[in-house]
Amino acid sequence: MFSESTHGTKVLFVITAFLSGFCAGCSRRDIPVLRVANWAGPEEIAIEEKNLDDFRETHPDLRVVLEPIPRDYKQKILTSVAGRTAPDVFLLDAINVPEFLQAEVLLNLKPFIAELGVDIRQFHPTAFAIAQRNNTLYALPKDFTPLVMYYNKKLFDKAGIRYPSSDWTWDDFVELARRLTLDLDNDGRIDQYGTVAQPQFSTWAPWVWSNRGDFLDASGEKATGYLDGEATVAALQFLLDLEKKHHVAADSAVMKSLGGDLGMFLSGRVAMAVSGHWWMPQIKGLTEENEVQAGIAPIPVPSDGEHVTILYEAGWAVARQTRHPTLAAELAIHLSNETTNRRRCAQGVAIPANLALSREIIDQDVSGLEKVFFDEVRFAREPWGARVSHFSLLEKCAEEAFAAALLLNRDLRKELHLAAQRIDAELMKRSP
Amino acid sequence: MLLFAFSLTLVLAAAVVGLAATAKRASRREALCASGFLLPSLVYLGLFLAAPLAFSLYMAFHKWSIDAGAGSNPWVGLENFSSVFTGARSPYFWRALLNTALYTFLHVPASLAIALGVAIILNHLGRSRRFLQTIFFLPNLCLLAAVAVVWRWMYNPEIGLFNGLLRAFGVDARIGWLTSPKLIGGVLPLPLLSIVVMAIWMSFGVQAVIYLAGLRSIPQTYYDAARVDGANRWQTFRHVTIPLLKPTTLFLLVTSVIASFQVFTSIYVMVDETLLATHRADVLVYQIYDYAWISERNLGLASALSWILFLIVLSVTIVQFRLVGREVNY
Repeated sequence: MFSESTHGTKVLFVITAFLSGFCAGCSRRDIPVLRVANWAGPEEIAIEEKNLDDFRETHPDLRVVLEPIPRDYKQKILTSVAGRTAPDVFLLDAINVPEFLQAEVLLNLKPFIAELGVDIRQFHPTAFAIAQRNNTLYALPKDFTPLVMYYNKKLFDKAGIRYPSSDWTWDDFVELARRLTLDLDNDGRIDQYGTVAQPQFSTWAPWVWSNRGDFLDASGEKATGYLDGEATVAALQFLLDLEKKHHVAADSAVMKSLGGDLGMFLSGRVAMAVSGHWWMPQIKGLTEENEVQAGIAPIPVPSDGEHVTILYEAGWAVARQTRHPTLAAELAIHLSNETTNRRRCAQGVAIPANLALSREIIDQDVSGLEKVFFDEVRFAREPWGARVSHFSLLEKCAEEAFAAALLLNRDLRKELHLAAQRIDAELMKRSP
Repeated sequence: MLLFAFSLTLVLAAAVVGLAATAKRASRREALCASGFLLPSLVYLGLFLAAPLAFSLYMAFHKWSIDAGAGSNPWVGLENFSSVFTGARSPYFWRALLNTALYTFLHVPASLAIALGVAIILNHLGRSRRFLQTIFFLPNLCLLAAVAVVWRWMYNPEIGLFNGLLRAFGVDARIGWLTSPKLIGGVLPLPLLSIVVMAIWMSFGVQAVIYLAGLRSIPQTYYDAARVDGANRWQTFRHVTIPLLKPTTLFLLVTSVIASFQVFTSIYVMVDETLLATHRADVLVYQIYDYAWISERNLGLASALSWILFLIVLSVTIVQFRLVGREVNY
């Protein structure tokens, strides 16, 4: 009798535990959950959580969860889409728009813009246009930046050299870099470089475009004759020669061992480097402590070249597979509004896409640097990656060609020609 | 994929239970009870091992682009497999195969030799053996990625430990241990050699502990007999210790070779990105990652290379068993 009652008690306990868990699960399942992903670092996460708190206050029956992905962001988003576990709202880099469109990942936000009464005139037109396709809209712009040339004013002052002008040329750049490449302790090794090597594709476009070259034809379907065209090869050879011929650029091995291009710039080991607005948070911080005095100039052009740069932009997109499209669209709209971007301005990673807010920042900036960024936007083109889905293939092949020329001393023209042929062959295979 | 995994698991579970049910009446209850205990592990293996393996084999015969929309994964037969050997990027595959083989042939013998030496020393120690065993085992407990980051700093050409030590001895060294494109002997990339050194440091400890267990299982009577026969230390080592350690050696050899062929994390974390773009320091698993996420963005091609790697490792393991395993007596 004792063992029967004990057995009965055990069975009753198991059933009760199971039912409790089941009911708890059910009740949690009733609350809609919205997941938000971005590539934020620790400081940005804190700011985004505050932005989400505002949304949570106005939507008490909703759970909003931030899921930052600091590394391999695109791969993780695409994998989650394939596994049907994509975040509802995620930050989308402009250069990934075509790939995500082709993978049918993105929800068209145009109907929600109209339904929720969003005034699109608040956004910078160039930034807003990047995620537009005909009568559809796939992301609401968050922020953007052109590429510019940063220069260390202290190093220029020490060498008694005038700062770069807004119409400086490639020859001026090489000459300045030469004068700023110094062996400070006479040990036969360079301690301060004029500039840094640039083996990443993301920094090449302004140099190629200003030399009137390009990577693909107008339709974006052909690389031969463009990637290996005279103007493009000349521009990339110029970048290669900074390290190999003029010896004024810190090579990638030195760069990585001394904190990267930003680390070297902030520590005064590099006088000039190309980058975007994302350097500004660290530069502003060190400027306040009088450790660094940075100036910004347009990227130099060839003597008969064109003043042009590239624009990088990020926006808030909604996954097509979201179970709550209207709520997700509302959240994307909230995350791109002026209030949330105003909070992000404290970080200053990029120029906010809200026109009024960006003008306010320029007015409040005593250094004059923000105005240079904003002025450069007039000369900025959107990246090829924002229009063409297979651009990552071209980037990869081009970087391989450049690396082979840089490290293995191969002929750059030949390597780019092989890369262009490979790209065209692959595009032929992929075309319908 | 989830449906496929569940179906495969159910089939496996049903097969096990079915087999148990066919047993003779007397042992049927026992067999069914045993299969009940096996089921949880079977479900786990089915869901997380058998199903992904089967699905990757399925993908290997399809063009599985992660950029294409749903339903755009056409059957391509053996095209993925032939692309690996003869496609536009096949020179990188052959380079990766050579590098992986070099990595294995450098890492495994060196690591086993050092491990055996350490085990012999530990075997002769008294109380301090346990403490030293723990010390040698510690690297194996660390996360490989974390270890790789620390060693990357040690190999730093400007401020790293190794170049610093060389400079302390008057050598003006700025050796790019992880960045140099130089080939030692015309075949071996310097970064690969640098990573072999780190890999030996990580693995010899656990191998020494296993060797120590093997040494302590050799009966003392064999050593006594050898001493009576007048054998010196080297002869005892060669004719008693080595043969009786063969089962341990075979186990460590096989597992080390399999692990070496799968090297990836240290390459990905430590080798300079620009050098990786030249594919000079590629290994096979890095090629798989490259095919899947970077250059081809084709999971089918990556799966095909995974199965080719499996066949290579299987062949090497069979050869090892044929060459070394034949003489192993348990």
